[in-house]
Amino acid sequence: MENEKKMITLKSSDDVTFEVEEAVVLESQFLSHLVQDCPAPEHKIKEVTGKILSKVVEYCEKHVVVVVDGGDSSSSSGDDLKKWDDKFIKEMDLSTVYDLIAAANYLNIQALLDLMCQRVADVITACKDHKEIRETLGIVSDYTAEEEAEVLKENEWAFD
Amino acid sequence: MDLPEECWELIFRFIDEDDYRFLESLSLVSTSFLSITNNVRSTFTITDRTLPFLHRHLLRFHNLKRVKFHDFHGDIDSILMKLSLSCLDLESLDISGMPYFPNLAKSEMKKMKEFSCSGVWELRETDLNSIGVCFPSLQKLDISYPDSLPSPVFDSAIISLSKNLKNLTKINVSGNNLITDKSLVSLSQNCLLLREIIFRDCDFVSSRCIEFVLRNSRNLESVAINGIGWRPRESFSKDAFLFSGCLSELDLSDSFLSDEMLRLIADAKLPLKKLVLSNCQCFTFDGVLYLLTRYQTLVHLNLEGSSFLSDEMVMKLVVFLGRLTFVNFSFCAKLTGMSFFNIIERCVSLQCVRMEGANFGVEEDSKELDDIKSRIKSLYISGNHNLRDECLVKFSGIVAS
Repeated sequence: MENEKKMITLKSSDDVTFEVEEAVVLESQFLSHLVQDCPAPEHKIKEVTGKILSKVVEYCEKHVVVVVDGGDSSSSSGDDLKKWDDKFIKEMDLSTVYDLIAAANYLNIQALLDLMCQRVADVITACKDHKEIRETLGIVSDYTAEEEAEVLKENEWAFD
Repeated sequence: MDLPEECWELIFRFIDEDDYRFLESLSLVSTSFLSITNNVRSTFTITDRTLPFLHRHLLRFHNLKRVKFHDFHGDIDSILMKLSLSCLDLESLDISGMPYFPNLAKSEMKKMKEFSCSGVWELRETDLNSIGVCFPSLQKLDISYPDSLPSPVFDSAIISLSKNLKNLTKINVSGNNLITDKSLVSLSQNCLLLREIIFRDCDFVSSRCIEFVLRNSRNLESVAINGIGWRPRESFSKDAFLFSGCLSELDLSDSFLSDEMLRLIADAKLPLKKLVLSNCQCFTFDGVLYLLTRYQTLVHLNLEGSSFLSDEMVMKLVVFLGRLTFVNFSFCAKLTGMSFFNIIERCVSLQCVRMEGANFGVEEDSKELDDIKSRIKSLYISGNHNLRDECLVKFSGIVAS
């Protein structure tokens, strides 16, 4: 009877370590495979910095607790989780959001990836035109004037 | 701030789902954004204006899944053939309101999952049969309110559809006013995956048949019927709703519902999220109170036209409505701003309130509302003849967003 929770240590690219329960690690498909295939007590994740990994761990810990407690996934815990998610993303700047998207994509944590992508989608749809999108996302256009005019023409009636 | 292309694609998919028109500005941001938007776009509307460039659009948006005809007066048959030859894996086709029904047999679209021909002008029985033959994988079908007289749809057509479309999860047969119990029984018996069924304005459907469907289709999550209970000797048995363990949306608008009937629904302990009882007659406050005390997890409530409701009654009801995101108390003529303020104070998640044709503006200005900040995004209060400027100013403070 294994009542004691198995702990696993994750180490970021800049050598910050996080000790987490195995259930938390299982939120990430990438990490659960890693843990299964190589039963070492410590795993280095070269692609993710300590700052971002701490956010990832925070998110996974919150979501694991709710799933375990919720049992029958009662809607009140669902509501609370949604509120927590809202707060979690609200305070984040766009560059952290990008880093978290890259991390969630790499570590294969679908729910976190969706949450972050929706956040960027909301930022984009709040912009009034392509110039504002460029400004907000910090993107430099690689269009020549002719190309841009061409796309503008192609777009006519195409988004009815 | 670089992201892998697959991540941008995910982000753009959320935008496409939300409203594909936002993709237009995205396509102008940079060449890589252009190629991702072209890749991601899934919905296309064919109109008279888009027709001349259709060939180029189909090459450009090569992953389209949903096509809708709108404001279109050209040859639907030839467009459908073009679509079927263009290597698109179309999953959804909408020809609602078109002047005629196309010849589906000419084009090969076997993967179609969703089809709507609501309000098509000339609909014949053979057209309905062709849906079953040409779209064998269909999951959602809308054949509501055909715009031809006399009604072209009889039981035989629905029975044939139900035999061919075993994968149906949703069907809307509203407004086909010649179909009878036989149609619904065969849908319920043949389409075992049915989750949503809408049959408004089907006058020949009896309460016995509705009961049969509720018992037999155990996967039903959503039912919309209207005008039940008007015929004499029509009644529901005590366990009518007891077997609908998945039913989360129930729409019984324009019906004659007794308090007894509301109690049947209340005691069935359904997982209800959405309840529509607009423009119903017969039930009283006691019935509604009993019902709502048992369904405190509702997110959508429509009691439009419940003219017996008073401010005091609403004050008692809102206690149980903490989860609501939508509420409709339109044409409850006795309700004043008092009810509105009580509702938004109690129902903190509300996003949309409809209280048209009520009696705003006659309430006393006693309530202090400074600390209420509502999340309401839409508020409909037309037809409140006593509404004054001061009242509107008060609203604007509360519904700032």
